[in-house]
Amino acid sequence: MIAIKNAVLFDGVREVGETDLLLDAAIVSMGRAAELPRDVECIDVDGAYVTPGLVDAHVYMGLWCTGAGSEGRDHNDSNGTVQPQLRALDSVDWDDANFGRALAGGVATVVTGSGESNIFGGQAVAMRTERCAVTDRVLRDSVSLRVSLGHDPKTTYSKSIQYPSTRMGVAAVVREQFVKAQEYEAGCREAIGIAKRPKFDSALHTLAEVMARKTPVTFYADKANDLVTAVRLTREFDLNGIIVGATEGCLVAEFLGESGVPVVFIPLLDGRMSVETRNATFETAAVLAAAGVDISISTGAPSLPSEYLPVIAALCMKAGLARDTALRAITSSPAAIFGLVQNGPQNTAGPGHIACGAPADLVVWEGDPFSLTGRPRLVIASGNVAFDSCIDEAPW
Amino acid sequence: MLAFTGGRVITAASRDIDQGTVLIDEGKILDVGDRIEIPEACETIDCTGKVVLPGFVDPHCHIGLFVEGEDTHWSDANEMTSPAVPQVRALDALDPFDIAFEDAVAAGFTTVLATPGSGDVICGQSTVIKTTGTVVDEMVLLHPAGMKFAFGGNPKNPYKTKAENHPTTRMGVAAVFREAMYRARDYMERKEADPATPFDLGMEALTAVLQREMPARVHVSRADDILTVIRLCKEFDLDFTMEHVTDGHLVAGQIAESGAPCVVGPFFRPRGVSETRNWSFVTPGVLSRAGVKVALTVDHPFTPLRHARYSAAMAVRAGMDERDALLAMTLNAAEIAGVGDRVGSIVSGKDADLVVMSDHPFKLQANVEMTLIDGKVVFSK
Repeated sequence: MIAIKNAVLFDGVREVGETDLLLDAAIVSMGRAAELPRDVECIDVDGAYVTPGLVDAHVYMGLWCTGAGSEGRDHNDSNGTVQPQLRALDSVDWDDANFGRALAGGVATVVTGSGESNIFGGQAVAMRTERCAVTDRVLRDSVSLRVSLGHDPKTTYSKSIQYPSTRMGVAAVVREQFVKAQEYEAGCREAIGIAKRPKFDSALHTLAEVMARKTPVTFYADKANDLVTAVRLTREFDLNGIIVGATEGCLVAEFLGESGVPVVFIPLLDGRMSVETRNATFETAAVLAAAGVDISISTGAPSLPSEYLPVIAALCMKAGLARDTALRAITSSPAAIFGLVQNGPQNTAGPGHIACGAPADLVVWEGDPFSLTGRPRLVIASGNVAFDSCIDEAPW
Repeated sequence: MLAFTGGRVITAASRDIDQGTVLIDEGKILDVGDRIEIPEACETIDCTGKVVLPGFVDPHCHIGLFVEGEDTHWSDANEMTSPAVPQVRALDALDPFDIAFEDAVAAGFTTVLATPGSGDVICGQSTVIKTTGTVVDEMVLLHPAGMKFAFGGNPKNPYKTKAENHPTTRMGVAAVFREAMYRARDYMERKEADPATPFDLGMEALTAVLQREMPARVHVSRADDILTVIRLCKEFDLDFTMEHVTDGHLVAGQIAESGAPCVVGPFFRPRGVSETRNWSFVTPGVLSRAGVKVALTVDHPFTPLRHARYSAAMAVRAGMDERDALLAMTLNAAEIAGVGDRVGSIVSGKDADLVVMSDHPFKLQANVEMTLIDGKVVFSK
């Protein structure tokens, strides 16, 4: 058991001021402790800023691995554009250095999965970045279904003449598959006798389950027209839709705000090297938030390594996003939209929160996390010190 | 005549001045100091509470070649029809209407070295330009500014789809380099003996490299490749710089001994291949401390120039001396680009390329408020 004394706490939702924490694998208690139990290791952080372990909501780590070249790329299956049955968990390389670096940068939880080459890429997995027992590392398998719109799936198979090759073609494939899944599900439900039951189809089976269980469906989209298409498809099939990417979100912010579809914004630190990204700006985060969009921020790691999540959140803040919103966008907001927090009285006993019963993942910062010089001093995962800047080499 | 008064002047030369004056006239810096008499009728800009710096310099970028907002397959940065194209010149492709130029001046960048590459072993000739203008010839500060070479994974991979006579191994890349240099030496000697030797544009350019009239600027990442580059450049006695130098912190001693300046970066990038697996913000600081002359690059547009300041701040966070990091974006960068006599610091006689910022450039909330090139305001908030 560890006690963290004199922490200036952001609990995932708001700043709560200076307090003490008592940790086991989960958070045991919060507030000024009059007397600590015996055998408790006490760490006095002396007014340092403390946040929950960060949550990076749309990454490819473990499937697109560090330093491994083509052998380390298991995130885009090239056998066709409709692959909802694929599970990211079956590709994950537990040893990918991206996980360790993310954790040292303060990121405790990631939603990782397939890339954007296929329209239906597969099912993502929510994982802890901590190096612990394999079973403990998986928070939830099939946490979401990844659908990709726009340029990427349109051009993946462009060397052969294959449908689809336009944006309307991509949307049509999504629509066809969900309609087929509805028919498949009805066929299975209404069939009298096994002989009449539709033959098992893993793709349609997956989609039917996604629709029945309201599993989140993430639509990767950058351009404004694709963002609107994502909302249209979400409404048409009554999906639990989430938009990811949203480079041009600032152009249709009011529409997205009214739609109620949450957005995982992936800001671009790279150049705007395509028509998709030519309007990229960090201001998108603030514009979306002002329009009432439930916003999260993600790196898309390893495109941008996950340890820079607080840096891009800080850049969003510099471009106008309120500080609390920026902090929520990398902690409690992504945890909520992917359904990772469903326990406890206030739905706070989960990743991205510091609350009784939440996993004891937290970051003690040296300086302000939202400055260019701020950095993790200690990263605690499941109540153990996983990174100590005095001992361990920083990932940058 | 124009005077910037009352601001903290980071000169990138001898010392910084807390409440200084920078006096400019006819596109040049006239004087800088804390006891400067401002002539009557001289317009003044009050910079109290602000920071005045020399315009930033990036000695390795692809601005105007990989054009932002367009798809990369339209780019003009890599000829790639042969592994050695010393005859091509960035100047002949550079698009001054790249939207990145506007961002560059808004971020305080006033001088850049634009280079072809790095898909070929010998990629072509670089050019140094100011970041404003519509006619590239009027933007040029130095041309040719160097011959771009590339080692490691980049030149051995692109040819799978493009050219026939491609190297497919690291030793193959080195062989292309060595053979071209031998051919150039042969051409040079032949031409000396017989002026009627048929003219060869590429060989002329490589002759200039062999005669140390233009530096070799070598793209290199992995430690083994860094040592190969040092070995080959010594073999032909070249004046050379190394660029990217991802593994530099692993062989800092050897790099310092070679005397080659290093242009380090970019950083905010995936670490997908063996070239990049050690990408770290510690590298520029480690090299600086080892005595290497270091400049920073963001390899625009891979990280755009508008984010370069954040990269430098991250290098400081990872242990680089703050002054070294500033020099790496100003004077060192200018000297490595070959234009240290014209730009890179605030001293009298240099071009009036200045940046006024609301705070120190490594602070998150600092903003560029004004940028001047040759004494003209090219950006104002």
